[in-house]
Amino acid sequence: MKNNLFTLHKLLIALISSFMLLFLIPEVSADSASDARLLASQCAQCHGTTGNTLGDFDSIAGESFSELYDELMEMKAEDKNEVMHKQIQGYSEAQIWLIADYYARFSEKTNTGGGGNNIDDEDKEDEEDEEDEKDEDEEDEEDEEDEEDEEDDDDEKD
Amino acid sequence: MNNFNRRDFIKLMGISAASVATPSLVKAATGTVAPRIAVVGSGFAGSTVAKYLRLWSGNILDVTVIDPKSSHVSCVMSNLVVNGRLNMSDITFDHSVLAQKYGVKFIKGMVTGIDAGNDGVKTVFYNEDTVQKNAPFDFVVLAPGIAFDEVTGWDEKIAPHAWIAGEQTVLLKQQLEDIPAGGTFVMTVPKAPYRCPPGPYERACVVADIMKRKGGGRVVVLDMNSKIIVEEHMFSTAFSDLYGDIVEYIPDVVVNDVNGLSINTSKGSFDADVLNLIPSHKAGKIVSQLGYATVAGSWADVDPVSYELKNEQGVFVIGDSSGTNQPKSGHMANSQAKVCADAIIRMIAGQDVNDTQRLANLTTNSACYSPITYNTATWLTAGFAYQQGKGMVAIKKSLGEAEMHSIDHYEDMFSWSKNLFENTFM
Repeated sequence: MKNNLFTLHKLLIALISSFMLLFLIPEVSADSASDARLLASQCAQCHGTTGNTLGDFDSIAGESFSELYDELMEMKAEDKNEVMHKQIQGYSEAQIWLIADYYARFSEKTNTGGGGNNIDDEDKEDEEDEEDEKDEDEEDEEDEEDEEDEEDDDDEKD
Repeated sequence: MNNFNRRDFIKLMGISAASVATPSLVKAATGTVAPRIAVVGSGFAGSTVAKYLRLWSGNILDVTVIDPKSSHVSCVMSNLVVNGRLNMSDITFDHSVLAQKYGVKFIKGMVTGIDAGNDGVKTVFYNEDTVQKNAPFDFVVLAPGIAFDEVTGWDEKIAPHAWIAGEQTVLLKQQLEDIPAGGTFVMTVPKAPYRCPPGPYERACVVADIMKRKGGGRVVVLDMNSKIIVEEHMFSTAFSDLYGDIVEYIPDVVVNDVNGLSINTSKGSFDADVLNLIPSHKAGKIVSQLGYATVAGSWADVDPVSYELKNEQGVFVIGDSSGTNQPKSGHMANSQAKVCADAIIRMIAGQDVNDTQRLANLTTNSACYSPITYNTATWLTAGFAYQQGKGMVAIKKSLGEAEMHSIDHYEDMFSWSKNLFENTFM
């Protein structure tokens, strides 16, 4: 009975969310209380709430786990006097793993599992179902983001 | 929408219900009403915490921002309004965006008090259109920014601070448009800690650049600190080389009083054509008023794992009003707000905010760009990690600053601010 209620609740949320752009991102999925979520959110000041970065900084949505992990580890090793190279010095390899794993979920149908959360198996199944739904929604979302980017570029010229 | 089922909330938060004890904190919220959170202030700290409380709770939590204005004017990038590079509209963010996108509620009012009752419910008192009202909340997050120390004789309408952006920014810009070639601009640098550590030195450079383009003038920088407190090499070189014939830097200044456009200090009296008086700071008024400003008599004493006050359960202080080892900046306020939002959500779900794994991954960061001339900028960055017994500690290897100001950094400044604005206000 409780499961049914929860499913109804989820359906209601899904219905409402179809009108709310940012509700669709994986951040509100079942693993949302994971340590990775908070850790990774600290990248968003410069890379955007969904990893879809505005302006000239590297966008991180759409990159795979290995691309993100390798890039970050490379910057950590290089330690140049640049903002991102300095920022990454503040994170351990294990944390870089969590961050890369988290943002990789913003890409299309890759790395839906992953570490850094405390969810049990039952929740994980729920989560995977939700991920599939969200991946489709994300594609729409990305299209809209692209349009926004173009508008922003125009603004900058002013 | 408002039906709150704690078990569903816990499940949505991904926390195993079996491991969750019944917390006394959510006693008031276990009925059919979602936990109610009041956020006082809509700046970088307040807007971010409101947005993330909604985003991370699957829009379940009832979040209300109380602020006397209907939009927030960002201090970040406001020096570029002063020199005409940006318009006020570029740094003004309307509350309707967070309301429509995330369902954050807004009350246009001024908070006048909080009554923390014995049952965990906090009554927040506020003035809305001069009518005194009140409402009950389960959690209160205070993000009121800064207030200024008193300066004898000072009138901010004559000598603007332009350190809380808005009308003051416009006033300073107008005064600088009217300042004659060869005129004298005098400014103060507040005693640390203050909002935006590089900001006053950045302001001096921006104004020196304006004076230079007017054909010369004098910029007197009266620093209440014993030296330039950040990016010392960058700013001292700018003062001595780039603006050597304009900037006069005087450290260790004690301000005695102000009379119109004249300022009387321990290092002499100065008459200005434009006086930019930035006094030393303290926590936003409501924090002092409630007796929470106990760190050095000026800032709120919070636990940085949640930003909850050490002496008041369920009341949190984030951003510039909090007293921690971290710098006071918009970027940092955003960073702290996420830690606070995560902590409140965990508290509601009955999870331990001091969980070992959580603390091992508790980080904040700050980054900022400062214009040095009309088309060049510099940058500064720092990362912080939680250490048991010490709180948030700066990670030495993550501290960095630009070697030189450049056009590239100037362009990066717009990418940085654009993302920071999006992440905070949109």
